[in-house]
Amino acid sequence: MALKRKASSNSIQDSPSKRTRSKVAPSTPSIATGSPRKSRAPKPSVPPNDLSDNSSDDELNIIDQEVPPTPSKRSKRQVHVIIPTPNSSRRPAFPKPKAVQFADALPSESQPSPSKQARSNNYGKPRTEDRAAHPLLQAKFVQLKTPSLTPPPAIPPPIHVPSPQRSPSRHAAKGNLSHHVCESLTFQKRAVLRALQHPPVIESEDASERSTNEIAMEKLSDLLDGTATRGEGNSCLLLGPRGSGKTQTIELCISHLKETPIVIRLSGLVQTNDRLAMRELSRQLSSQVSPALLPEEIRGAANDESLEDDDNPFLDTPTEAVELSVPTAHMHSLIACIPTLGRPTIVILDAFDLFTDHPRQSFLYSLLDTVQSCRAGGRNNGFAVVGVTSRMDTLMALEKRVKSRFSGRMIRTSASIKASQAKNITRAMLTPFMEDYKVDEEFSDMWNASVDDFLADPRTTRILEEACSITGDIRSLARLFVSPVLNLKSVSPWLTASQLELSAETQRIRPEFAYLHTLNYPSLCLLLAFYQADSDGYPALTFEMLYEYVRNAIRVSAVAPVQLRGNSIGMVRCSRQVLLAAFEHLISAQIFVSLSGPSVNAGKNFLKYRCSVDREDVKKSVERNGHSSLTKFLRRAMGSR
Amino acid sequence: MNSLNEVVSLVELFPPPFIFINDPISPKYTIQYLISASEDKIRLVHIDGTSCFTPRLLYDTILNGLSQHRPSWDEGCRNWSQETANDSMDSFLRALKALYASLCTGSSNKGPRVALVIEKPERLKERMPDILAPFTRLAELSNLELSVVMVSEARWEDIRPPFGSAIDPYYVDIPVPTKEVIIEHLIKTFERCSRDFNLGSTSTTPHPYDSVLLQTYKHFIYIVVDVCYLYTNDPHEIQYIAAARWPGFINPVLDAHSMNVEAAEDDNDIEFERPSTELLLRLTRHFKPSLSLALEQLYPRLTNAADWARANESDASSLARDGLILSDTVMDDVEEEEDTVNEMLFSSPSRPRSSKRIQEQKVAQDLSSSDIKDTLPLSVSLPRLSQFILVAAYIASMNPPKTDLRLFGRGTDEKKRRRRATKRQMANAKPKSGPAKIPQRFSGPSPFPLERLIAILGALVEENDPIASEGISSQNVPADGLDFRIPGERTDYEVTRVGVYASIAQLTSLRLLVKTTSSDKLDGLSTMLKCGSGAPSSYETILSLAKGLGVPLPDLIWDTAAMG
Repeated sequence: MALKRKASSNSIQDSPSKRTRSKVAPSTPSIATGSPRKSRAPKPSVPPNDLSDNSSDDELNIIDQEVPPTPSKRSKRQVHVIIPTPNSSRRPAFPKPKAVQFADALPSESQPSPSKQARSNNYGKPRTEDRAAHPLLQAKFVQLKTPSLTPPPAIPPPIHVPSPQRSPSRHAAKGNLSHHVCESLTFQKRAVLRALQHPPVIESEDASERSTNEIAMEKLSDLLDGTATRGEGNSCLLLGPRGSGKTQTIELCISHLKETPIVIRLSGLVQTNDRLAMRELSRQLSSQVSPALLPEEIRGAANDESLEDDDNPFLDTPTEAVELSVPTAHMHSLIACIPTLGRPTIVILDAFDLFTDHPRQSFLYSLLDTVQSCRAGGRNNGFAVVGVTSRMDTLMALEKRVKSRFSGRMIRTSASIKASQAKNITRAMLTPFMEDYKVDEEFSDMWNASVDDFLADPRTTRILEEACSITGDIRSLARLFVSPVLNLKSVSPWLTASQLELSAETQRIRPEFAYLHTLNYPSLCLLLAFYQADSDGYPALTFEMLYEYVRNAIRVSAVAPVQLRGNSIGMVRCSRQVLLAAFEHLISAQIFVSLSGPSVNAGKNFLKYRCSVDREDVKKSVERNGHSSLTKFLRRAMGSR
Repeated sequence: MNSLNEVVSLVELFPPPFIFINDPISPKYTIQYLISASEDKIRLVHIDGTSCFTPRLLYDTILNGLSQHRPSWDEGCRNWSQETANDSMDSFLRALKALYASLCTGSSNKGPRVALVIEKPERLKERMPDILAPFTRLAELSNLELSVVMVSEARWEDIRPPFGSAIDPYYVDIPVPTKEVIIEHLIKTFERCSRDFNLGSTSTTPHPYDSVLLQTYKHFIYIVVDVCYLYTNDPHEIQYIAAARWPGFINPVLDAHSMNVEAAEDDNDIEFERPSTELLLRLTRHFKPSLSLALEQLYPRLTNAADWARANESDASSLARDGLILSDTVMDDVEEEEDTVNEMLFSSPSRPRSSKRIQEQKVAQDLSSSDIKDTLPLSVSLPRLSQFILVAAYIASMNPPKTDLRLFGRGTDEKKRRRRATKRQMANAKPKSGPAKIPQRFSGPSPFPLERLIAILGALVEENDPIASEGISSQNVPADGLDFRIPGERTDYEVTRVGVYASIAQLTSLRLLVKTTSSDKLDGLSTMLKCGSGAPSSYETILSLAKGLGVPLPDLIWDTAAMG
């Protein structure tokens, strides 16, 4: 920003006449400098002569009404935000370009909030002697408004705060300000990125209609409450698509329980067999329960590692024999004594569907059998098993004897959020509570206002709506905002919808092989050879055939050498070895996929490959690459069909 | 570059648990940049999917890297973890948590930011498919604020484990590097080299990476990139080519300088100056043709940079011709004069000279590569009979068996029958619908029985070997009642000798022929053989071999029709 501003001021210095004019209507040159938020700025090409343009009186009146009274205390604040430029001391009357940027960004319908006023005041401060020029200035804004695109740029709250002590104070603040903003911005970015990782809980707007997740939460906490307080044995399945808040729900429920239970968290992704699951279970038990309370058997199982030392440490996958070393009957009796422990126990099985893949499902059987035999009112404490999964058919995967011991309770979470909710969540994520970070108050005011602007942009709304209609996953929604937040710099410190659009393109529906057109010449030749072979009816090719195609194409173009301005535009010669190297590059990028595995006997140039790039994509990327000889090759390949 | 910086700042600020970087051209470069940019700010562990080929290695690499523990030989190469942290994912997670807790220092009790950079995650997927999904969720499973960054040439869509068990990454696409990026990278490398004190020498003898030469190097790099960018845009490859050429390129300048120093003798303070523009242009003109040669040799790694540089050293005379060294250093002044006369005669002398130089360089190249034993051409290294066997094997591999009789059958009206049959076959070769059959020579050699090889070998030897037919005149009659006067009888006798089988066995052990049946012995005639991969199944090699033997190979290959 500092650089740009400097440039603009220089240009003004070049033409003294302009400079005087700029004193009268300070907004003009700053618009012309081209703000970073070009997309929203009105047309910058308005010549300064238009200043004295005819403008209707009523428009002026509207503006005048919107002019807020200026509290005197704001004049103190402005010192911090103005970023001094080297020139500013020499020409104190030079206007700050930022004032106009902000003004443009404000939606017309929004009431000027105090923060906005403060902000615009800050930036608009340096105008002192231009009170008389006010109507002109406003006329300028109105005039600018007309040619702009939709959404219409807002009429800025005009600023006319006289500050007699302006220049000295600015001198004082000169040193640290830009640095200050930068620091605040970094803090803000960090906080926002953090919030994006931990999205807030959704709360439905109207109390009459509760969301699915709230119902699920209530059901689950009832269930766990029964286990924790009344000693019930409960089992249930928490079903819901990815990112719908399953884990969040269950963690919240457990944290709300009055009595802290023993919580055992297992995951089907990590505990890939019963032996690992059993060992992890006993470890977690022994870390949460004092050893004296544990029955002998479980203590033994926790110290099981002494037995496992017999395993060959160089075996990476434990063999079947090792797995069977924990007998299933033994495991059953171990799990059966869990309810005799001092506190109620909750077992959470993440990726429950993977547990059903274990041989004979003996771990699940033991858990669910224990649950079923856990009678309320007995001596035992409660025992609950909660399976968490996203697969709807998990119940079908249970064996009959396991299924009959399962309660059949299924609690569903859903990920459907409305666009309005999404907007609220986004706002919450973008304006996180800054506890750890010391962000300048002023900056955070400005930040909040800019987030409001950002969310009010129709393009943002459209993207949010799209995101909600494709998937209600909050995580994928949050991912869209990472790149725009990252790209904030001290030059362009506010979020823009165009950056969001860009990020939506790369994060949501990813284009296949977007980089194809920038590939090097041999690679594109090979792709085109594949294209031609595909037209000829060969879907899978060896390198030898590809080489033959490329060689033919080069030969054909060499037969009739065409020269354009002294340069040959035929295909450049490409040696077999270079082509082979390019071919191997494409294989490692998995653009060419081998149909059979590598074998000792077959030479690598005789392995068959298919091309994973779509024909149309090859065509488009070659056209986009624009290499004339390749385009010719393409045309020939298309003609050969 | 932009997206790379984005990743660096993301990892620094607050990284998402899983980032996937797709870099189709040079993932190595991306990782290097990532590591060097965030070295001192976060704790970054680099994991190579190729070297960590078992879960144990993977776990140990991560833990050692995080704790910055380096296993030393004296301590018995112990890993960081006290107990067995590497026997399962559980133990690993446990050890990871303990390690992270030990890293937390200070009052804030906040550990350092941790990132695991995994190179070639597709290898992990191949070797241990179960481990990829938990690794994408590592932050969730371990309850730590860490981030897993995968850098791959392939796309996440090709690597992603099934059933949606992995979480979606934050995608980063690294664009294909542009010329500017490559040039910038190379210049940075140069600057690093010129700061390196190992390369630096005394002030009197400057080394090729002296910082004075930076401008010259920039000029050189522009030319190199110009030549190579069409074929490769991997910064590392271009760097390799530049490294091979640069010392030779700048050598005349260094030599001139050291000569100046010698001439000055006493006063050592001759400043090493960067070469003038004119000299630079001369250097460029002299060395530019060798750059495309370098690309063709070095990019597919047909040779290594050091060997190539040695083979392509410019000799004094050619340098002198281009005015790169003083003529009095050249021994044969006469030749020099001749050249200058030539120069006067030709209006544009640079062209023929440069092409001549390339030829010289090519010769030098061939000589240097023929130094190595295993690149000796087959026609030199193999006995004559083995060469015949290879040609026969190639024919047997590439032709369908039913064509043997047509190609080699000799009856009374052999010529006529053969031609006509061939023509009819060629006409029938193109069916009405569907694509034409791919010629065997493009789809690789097919296996054939030993019997067929012997038969074809017999036909080849009979028709093309003058030495075998010479023997007819000698009238010694063998005991078995064979009559060598019958045509072909003698060849038949020759090719069924033990020596032939021994040669075949030898070729098999050289893997010029490949046995496709599993039996160890070369007993039955039904043993299936095949041309080995590489040279013995390439048409060009066998063609040159056949030319040496006088075999008309193109006539004996059934399907020579080119494709496309």
